[in-house]
Amino acid sequence: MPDLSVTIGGMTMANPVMLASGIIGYGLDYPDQGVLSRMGAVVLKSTTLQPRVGNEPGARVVETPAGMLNSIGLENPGVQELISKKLPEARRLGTNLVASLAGESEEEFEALVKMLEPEPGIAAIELNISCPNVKAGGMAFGLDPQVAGGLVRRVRQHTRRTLIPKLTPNAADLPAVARACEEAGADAIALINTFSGMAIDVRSRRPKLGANFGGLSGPAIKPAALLRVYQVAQAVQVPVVGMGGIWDAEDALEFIIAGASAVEVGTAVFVDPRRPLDIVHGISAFLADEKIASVRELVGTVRLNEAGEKCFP
Amino acid sequence: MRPAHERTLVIHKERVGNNHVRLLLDSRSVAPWARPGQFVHVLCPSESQLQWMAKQKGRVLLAGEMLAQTAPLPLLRRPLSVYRLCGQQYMARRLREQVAPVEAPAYPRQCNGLELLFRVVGPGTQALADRNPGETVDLLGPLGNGFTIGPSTEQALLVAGGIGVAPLLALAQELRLRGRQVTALVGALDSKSIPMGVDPQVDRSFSDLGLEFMLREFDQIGVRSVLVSEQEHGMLVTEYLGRFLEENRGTRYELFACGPKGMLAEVTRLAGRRPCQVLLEERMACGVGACRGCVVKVRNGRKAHFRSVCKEGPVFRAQDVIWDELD
Repeated sequence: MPDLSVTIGGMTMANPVMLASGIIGYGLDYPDQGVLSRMGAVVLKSTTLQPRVGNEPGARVVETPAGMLNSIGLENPGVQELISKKLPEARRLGTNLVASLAGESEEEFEALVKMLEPEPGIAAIELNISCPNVKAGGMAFGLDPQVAGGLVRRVRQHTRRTLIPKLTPNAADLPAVARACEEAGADAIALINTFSGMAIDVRSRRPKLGANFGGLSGPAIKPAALLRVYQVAQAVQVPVVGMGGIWDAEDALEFIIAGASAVEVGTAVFVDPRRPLDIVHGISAFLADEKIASVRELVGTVRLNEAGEKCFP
Repeated sequence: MRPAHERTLVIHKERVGNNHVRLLLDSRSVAPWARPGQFVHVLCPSESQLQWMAKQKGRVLLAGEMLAQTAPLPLLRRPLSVYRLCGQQYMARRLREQVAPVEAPAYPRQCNGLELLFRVVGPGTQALADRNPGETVDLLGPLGNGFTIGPSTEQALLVAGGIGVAPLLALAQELRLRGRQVTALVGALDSKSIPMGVDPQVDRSFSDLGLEFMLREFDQIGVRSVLVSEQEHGMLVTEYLGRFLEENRGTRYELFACGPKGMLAEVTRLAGRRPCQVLLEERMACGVGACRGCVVKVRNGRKAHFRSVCKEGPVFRAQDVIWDELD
């Protein structure tokens, strides 16, 4: 059996497959519970300081070719309820829990981290500085290297936990944002969150999403996500958690070969809740087939085509 | 109870009416627990189609390739209401609850029958409609809260708009088992009836929804039903409902309705203070209450709350729903 275990900062995982934030809430409603305990980690729904009702109804999700747009608007019951109700139940999932935090200001991020610090059973913190669907905070923290670095530096002082900022592909210079986060003390970099997107009903001339714009996910974004993960992996020394449209084990392997130490699966889970486990098995089978002892050996092993160097400087 | 994830077997498929399909599935894990008003989250493409899509993934970003291909298959599951429950375990449960079973005679009793009725409106429902007996359909369910059927003595008045009739047959079945008198008004032509995910252009092409067969279905279980079509009656089902309630002012009714939102809002208005439950549709991703993608605005006292259609619905007290803010 190949060794699937990986370490991201201080978090050791049995395998490199994680469930992405916002897909399964806190895991409690997941139809195939057996899958969750066998994940490397589960990232919980992003939590804000105060409860948030999210964006107005009207469609919050719309299917698009090989993908979907969402504009939920960070609906969540707030950090108090996370601590009092959700975490105690989520701890029973029997896997690494990653808390995802979203704030409208540096102060809010700081307060969130402080409040969670004494709570047991959280293996890592993902900083959601990439949500495209909120007015304040969200993606705004992830667009600019200085802003992102400043936030990570500030939060870093209050936690010993593994700190993983999750970046947005909508940033103009994603590697620069990643480098700034690394310099500020991030233990790893997660990417990508959704691409900003839009769909229009041609009859009514109205956007199909109630909020007009949203975030694109699903297989449609995979090649674009893969490139960004490659670029960031080239730019930083810390581990990279790659995601964006992962559908099967081959996709996950592509991200790993591009430089990701671990991957997150999101939209595919809506289609088939057992898919993340299939991906774990698929990675294991691939390693056995290729006679590779550990998945860690595969990270960042992409070999660029020599001819390509002449095309792209 | 946590929803089950099951690969069910297609027992029977039948095209009915105008572009509607009835699909009877043998479902060991979902059917025995399903209640009227609940739904199943259906993976529409077959496994080989999904595999094909996986191979095509990402290529849609290249415009030239996308044009050269047929449209990519739908990714997300489709929520479909339970249309009919039948079969062994269902009957056993009925007997435990001491109500007599009503069976559609044509179906095998050995299976745990879960029947779906849906309209083919796009590539998702088309892929599902192409499935044949002996093939499998992947389901999550049963999901959501079904209709609340209390010990009330009021006559039940079912109001359907188009394919909104689907969940009302299972409901009628249950109401009849409990000895309730049931009347069903089925609206078969309503220019506003654009269910979720439907291209309006496709929808307009349905001049006749062809739901006449529903009258037979209702007839078989002792439900009086009226097909209200614009062609026949020159009115919408809601107009008919208004007159019906006026003419039967002496009778106490409990209303149950499913259909497009505009219709449901009108049913709610006409229901006044009568008890009225509505089954809502919304675009969904997870179907289990986790992603919060399918919320509607619902009154709770003086406050308005967002409630997920998939987990906290899909059935709501009509008077609680804030209709004017729904599109």
